Amino acid sequence: MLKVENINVYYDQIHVLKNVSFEVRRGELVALLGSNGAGKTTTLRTLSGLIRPRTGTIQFLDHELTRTPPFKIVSLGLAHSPEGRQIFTQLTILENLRMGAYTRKKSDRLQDDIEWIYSLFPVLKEREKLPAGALSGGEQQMLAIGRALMSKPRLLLLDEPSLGLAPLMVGKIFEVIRTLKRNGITILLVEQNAHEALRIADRAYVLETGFIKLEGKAADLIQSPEIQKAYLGG
Amino acid sequence: MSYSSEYWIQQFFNGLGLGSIYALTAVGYTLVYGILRLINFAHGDLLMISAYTVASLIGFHLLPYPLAVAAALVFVALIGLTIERLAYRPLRGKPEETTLVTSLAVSILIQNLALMILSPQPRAFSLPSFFSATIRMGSVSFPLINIIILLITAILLWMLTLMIKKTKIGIAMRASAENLQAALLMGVNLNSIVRTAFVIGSVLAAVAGILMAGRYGRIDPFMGFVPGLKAFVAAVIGGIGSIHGAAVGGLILGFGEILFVAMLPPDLSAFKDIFVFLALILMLLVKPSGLFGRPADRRV
Amino acid sequence: MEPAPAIRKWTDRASAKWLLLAAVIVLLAIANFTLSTYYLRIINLVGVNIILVVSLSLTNGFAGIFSLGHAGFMAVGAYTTALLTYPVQRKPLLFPNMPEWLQFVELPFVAALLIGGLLAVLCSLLIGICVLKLHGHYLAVSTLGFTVIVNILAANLTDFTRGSSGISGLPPFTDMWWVYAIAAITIYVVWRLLHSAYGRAMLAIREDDLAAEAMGVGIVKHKLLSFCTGAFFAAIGGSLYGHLIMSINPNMFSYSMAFGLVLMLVIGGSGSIAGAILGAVLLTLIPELLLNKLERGIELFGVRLPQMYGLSQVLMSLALIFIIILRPKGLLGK
Repeated sequence: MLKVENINVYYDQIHVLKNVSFEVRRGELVALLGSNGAGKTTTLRTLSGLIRPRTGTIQFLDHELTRTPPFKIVSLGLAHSPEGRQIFTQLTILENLRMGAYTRKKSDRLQDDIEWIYSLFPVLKEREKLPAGALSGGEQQMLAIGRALMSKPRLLLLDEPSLGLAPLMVGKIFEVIRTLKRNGITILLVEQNAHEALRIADRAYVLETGFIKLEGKAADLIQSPEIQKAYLGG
Repeated sequence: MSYSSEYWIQQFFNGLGLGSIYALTAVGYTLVYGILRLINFAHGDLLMISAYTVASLIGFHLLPYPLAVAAALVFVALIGLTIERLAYRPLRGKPEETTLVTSLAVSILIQNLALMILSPQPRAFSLPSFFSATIRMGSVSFPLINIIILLITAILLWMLTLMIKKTKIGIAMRASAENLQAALLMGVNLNSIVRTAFVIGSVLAAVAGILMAGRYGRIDPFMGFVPGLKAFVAAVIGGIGSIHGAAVGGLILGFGEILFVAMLPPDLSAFKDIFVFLALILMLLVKPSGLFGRPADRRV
Repeated sequence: MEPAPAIRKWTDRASAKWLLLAAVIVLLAIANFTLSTYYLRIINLVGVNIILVVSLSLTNGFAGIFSLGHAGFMAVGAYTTALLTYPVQRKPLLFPNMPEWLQFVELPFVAALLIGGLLAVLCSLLIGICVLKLHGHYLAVSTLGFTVIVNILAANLTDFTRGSSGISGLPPFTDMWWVYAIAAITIYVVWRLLHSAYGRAMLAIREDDLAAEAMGVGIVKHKLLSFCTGAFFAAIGGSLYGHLIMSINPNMFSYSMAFGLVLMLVIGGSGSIAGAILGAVLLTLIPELLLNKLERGIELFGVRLPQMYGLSQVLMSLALIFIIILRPKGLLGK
């Protein structure tokens, strides 16, 4: 579904992503791991069209994303729940969800989808009319994921959903991600929490200072001594 | 020096009228600034373009008044869109100083184009005669025009608030003003949103221009710059990015200006504009985010 | 291949600089003796604008303070020198309500210039302390506010300024030696400031003021130094301008003037002194020699063109917009 080939991304003169290549197949949950500053968020932002690579291609369902404007990328079916959640604090929860559905046609019935999101995250329904800024960190993360799901994406990008959350909340979030996978949604998950990510992923890539350092099946990687030492405290 | 209550009532409505004009212009500023973080210095000059369009159409007996006004609104909206497309869009993402200078350049360009095409002499301007009626309430009589200005402003701002609250594009504008990158991730088409903001802002400015011209009775090519600046001050005082903040700021400024003139001896009244800028600097020092703005904004 | 780096490499060699200086002095001397008053006036105008734009480059270009207040400081300087050097015999006629002590003062030009400059420094200190912690648009509008305030004061403190009619008949002190000597001083001062520890701190602040602050650089202090130095020379430039044209009125120092200076800086190149000089030269000569004539309506190829006041401003604003979009650093900017 998604095929990234040899992209090179620069911030001004700084070479942030170096010949990065990876792919995500339909129905998979692929994890993108790495420590801070490795370039994970940059990768996702490049996929969404917020940054353009200097060289390389990004193929998504037969479209070349490097030449597609960001709003078109979303309507092609690529949704992104960004780093730090970035929900619209001034808008209500309901309005946030409606913003997620921005690219959908008027004729679509959003209410069913909104109800489904509420079934995943019941607490959002209670606070429906409240400004999103009143939510706790974990609740905001749920809203961010729900918002991204509202566009009925073919591919869901999740940027560090567990960051800054209490352990109980982390567990909940990963439960939800598992549920989404079971529902057949293709997911590219960026995480610093390698342990949890590898447990639910099919395959994973490890990014280090802009390079893809390791790749493989999640089950294999979880055993690898390198990973154990670098990311799993082993 | 004590004035009758009649005087103060008249000044009250005066303040409402002037404040409404500033409010309309300030809201236009804040709509664009909220999304693009761009101060469009040329915004004030739209007032002038609008007034001259109406004056010319009426003067040459080309259209009846209501159609002339409609034509002016359309024309000014087109000008606003043109400015956006030619001068501001190429500069998206560039540092602030560049857009500042360009914005100032566009303003000076418009003023001097007007100077070239029209005469530097002020021209008379009048609204249809029913606007200059006066009404009597008991022993007090005051000009109707301020009430009309207030009504028009209230209706327009009410419509705008509805749009911002209920329509899809209105919510998108609010979202973009808060967090543009996240809005882009929702699939918001930046160009559409910006164009919408410019059109709405320009139409509001166009209305303000006609009302202002009617209130003062005359127009000249440079009439828009200082009111434009004051409207910007109003938007800052109200909290830049907040629509009702801009409206409130406009009213405050309008009242303040009228009060200033009313309470001070006549030879000091020319200094009223100084008070406006001092108010700006004071506000920026004390609460840069304005009355209704969000303090987290590092932009200041 | 741009010509700019080639020119810069050449001017960077020290011996080239001295040669250039000598050539300029010789040319000026020749010009002084041979050219008519009309052309002399233009050359002096170029020099005054060099002073103004180079000092502006210190504030706007290097310190990153987008200031539209330069015109206000010009006014401070111009009105101060006008009042202090006006011949005492004619003062009471022109300024009947002026306080006594001022009516009997008539100072030599140097003294008046310095006093004007110092007054501007005082103003800039006061304003700077208030507004220099602001950024971008807010700073620009605040400084513009200062210019507008000075305008209003000049137009309304009629006892001192004769209001909108302005003051005419100023003694014509400005001549080529004054202008270009001060221009040289301005260039030297700005150049020295930039190549000092202070200059490096300024660059750090411009690049990223949070980081600079973390490293212990006192931001407002450094910005104040640029701002006040700029104001000093702006005032002097304004004084020279006033005594060149021999009359001043509030409209001369309005936002139009502020914009005109920014225009010269941006087109010439805001990151370099050479750019500032180029901008001043080009954008004084072109309007004076060409555009103003067009404005008044001339005969071109036998066709009588109409008066088009405002044309030079229109063309220059367009030029600015083009340059900003196509070559944002200006002609010689870095």
